[in-house]
Amino acid sequence: MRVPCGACGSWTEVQPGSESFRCGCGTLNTFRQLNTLATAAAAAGVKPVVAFRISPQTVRSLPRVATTASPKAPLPARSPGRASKLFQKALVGLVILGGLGSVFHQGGTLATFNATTTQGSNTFQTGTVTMTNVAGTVVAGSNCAVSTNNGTCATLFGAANTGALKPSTADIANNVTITYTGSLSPTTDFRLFAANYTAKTGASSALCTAPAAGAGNPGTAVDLLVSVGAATPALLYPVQNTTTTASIANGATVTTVAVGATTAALASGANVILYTASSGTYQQFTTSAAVALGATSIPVVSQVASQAFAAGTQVAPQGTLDDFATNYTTSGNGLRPKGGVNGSGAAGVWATSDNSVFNIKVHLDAAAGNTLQGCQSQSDLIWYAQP
Amino acid sequence: MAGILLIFTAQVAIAAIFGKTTNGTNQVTAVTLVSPTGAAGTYTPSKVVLTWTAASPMNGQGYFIRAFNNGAVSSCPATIASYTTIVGSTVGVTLTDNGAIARGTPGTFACYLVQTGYSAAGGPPWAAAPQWTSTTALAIATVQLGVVNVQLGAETAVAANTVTTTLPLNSTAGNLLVAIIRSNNGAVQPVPPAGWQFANGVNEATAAFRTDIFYYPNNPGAIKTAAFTLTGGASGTGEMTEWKNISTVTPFDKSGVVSVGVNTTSTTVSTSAPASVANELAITGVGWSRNGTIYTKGAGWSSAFADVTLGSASDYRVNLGAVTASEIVTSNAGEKWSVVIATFK
Repeated sequence: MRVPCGACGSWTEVQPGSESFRCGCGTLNTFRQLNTLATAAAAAGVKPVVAFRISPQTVRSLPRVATTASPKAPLPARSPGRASKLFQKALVGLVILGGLGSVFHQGGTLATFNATTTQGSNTFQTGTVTMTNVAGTVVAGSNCAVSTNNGTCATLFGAANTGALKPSTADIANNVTITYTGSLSPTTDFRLFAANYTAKTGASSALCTAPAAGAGNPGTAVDLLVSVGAATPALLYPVQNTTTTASIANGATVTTVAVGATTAALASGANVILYTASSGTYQQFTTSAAVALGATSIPVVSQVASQAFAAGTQVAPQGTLDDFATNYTTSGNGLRPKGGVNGSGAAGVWATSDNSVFNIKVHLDAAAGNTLQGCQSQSDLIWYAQP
Repeated sequence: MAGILLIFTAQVAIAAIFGKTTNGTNQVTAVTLVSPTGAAGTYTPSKVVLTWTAASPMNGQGYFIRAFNNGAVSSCPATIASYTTIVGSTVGVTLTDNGAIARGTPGTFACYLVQTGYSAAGGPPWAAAPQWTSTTALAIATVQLGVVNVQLGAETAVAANTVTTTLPLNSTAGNLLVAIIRSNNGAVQPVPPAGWQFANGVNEATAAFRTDIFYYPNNPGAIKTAAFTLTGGASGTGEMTEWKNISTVTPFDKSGVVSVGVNTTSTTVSTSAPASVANELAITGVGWSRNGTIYTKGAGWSSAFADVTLGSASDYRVNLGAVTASEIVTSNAGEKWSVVIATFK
């Protein structure tokens, strides 16, 4: 049988009839009967337990099981004489049983001595990262009017509103209202990006001879603009390059646009827009020469201003579906719409109930050539919240 | 190593907490312009009137027309690049071309291509090909240029009181019929049958014979004979011809006569004014006094008939410019002349 060491507690195999054993730590243990414990148990009306103590010869401290049962009880002196061999075998068996009984049944014997306090009904519930997504016009599918953390919501553009585009400057618009409804608030990030972009879908007609990818693909001719807010929509895409430093009168012939230092170079022939947030309107111009980083004027192909532009008007490159869908592709590089109401907060920080209406405008570029007849482009828009 | 993997796994699990919504399958599609159908062209001197049926759906702003002269080949190509000359543009379904293509060499074929067009800058008129044009199911019209002679009737035998001209075949509706009558009716014009109109005529009084031109515009078809009545027992002869590509409304343009009462070997007959347009039908009726045995038509003219026995002939041409038409007629002997000329457009 195996018996625990009184000093180190390691278990040691002991032959029946042994009076002592040496455990792994080198301590010599002897077996002694705990008469006091049995007597005390009987006095308490409890079925007496005949207990024996395994005592190291060099250490006389008591095992925890013994002190728990009777912490103040003195130990009897070591028996001076030897018992008969028959008695010793019985004693060893009882020691083991008694020891086990002390270890595993002491609670039962002492259950009347305890105190309990309880923090009850604790619940543990995970937070949510959810939003609603409601389109101004549902072209296909249905709105995510109920909070969702992974919803496929309404299609914003399709045959109903963009199934017959021709070269034009007139936009086709739709909008979508995003409301953050998650309980994990505010978000650490909030993104808008594209997915499943196809510049030239298989549904394009045979007349569409533009390349499926690269320069001149159909998506490069789909001008795209995203703004935030209803009354004075702020430009979200394309990203602002600079602002004008002088006003431009309605009807004026524009050949140069005075601007603050450009934050990015512009190629000759690049399309830029002057965007007026107060009206959500814009006009496209084409650069007539390359514009260096930091330049303060942008030469453009002569064109009559279709509206007045105040100093401070936003200047941005003309956004396209292809540009958007190839540069903003993941939650890591997507645009970061501002939180608050209609973009009044900080970029990417959306608190519960923050909401914005996003205005999305598209048109086929006015200079789109004949090779773009019958071309179809497609993309998903993803609104992504990170707690 | 296993511990590291476990850590990474735990991080991924944390990052997967997110919410998103998708506005999927957004599509933008450019329109395909649809071509018109049923393009056809009608030639009258120096102009081609094109007509077609509107594109359906009409998803452009108008139509853009190009053309080229295909020479003697009547089969027009179905390749857009072949059509090089800009004829014009219109929002309607008809266009009149009176440019270089329409004024091409009579007898050649003009090919016209009608395309639906669209330009972001605005609708027609387009001075150049618009930004977008329809490129399938091409609407092509083939038009033979010039006035075309359909048939020439034989000169009738001399008959009294009535000259009945004939055609080999029934006429085709819409075509122009022309009759040349030479008679000794004096100062009195022969009386044409219903539907016929007098173009011009002249009497040579000294020899007492006259030549007249009558025409029947936009004839109703199935006409094979036309009887012209003479007066006072006069006799005469005549010939009827049929022409297409002549206006069905007011074909008669200019005319002129010459009467020569002294024998001369040659005379010239001219219209009183230049023709309105180029390539009109110019036709003459020539009568002379039958002294010679050889009649010579003017250079560049074609003979409808010539009868030296009766001293009667008719010549025509369809390739003059918008000029005064004239013919020099000649005999190998001195003659008195009664010659009339008329042009039809």
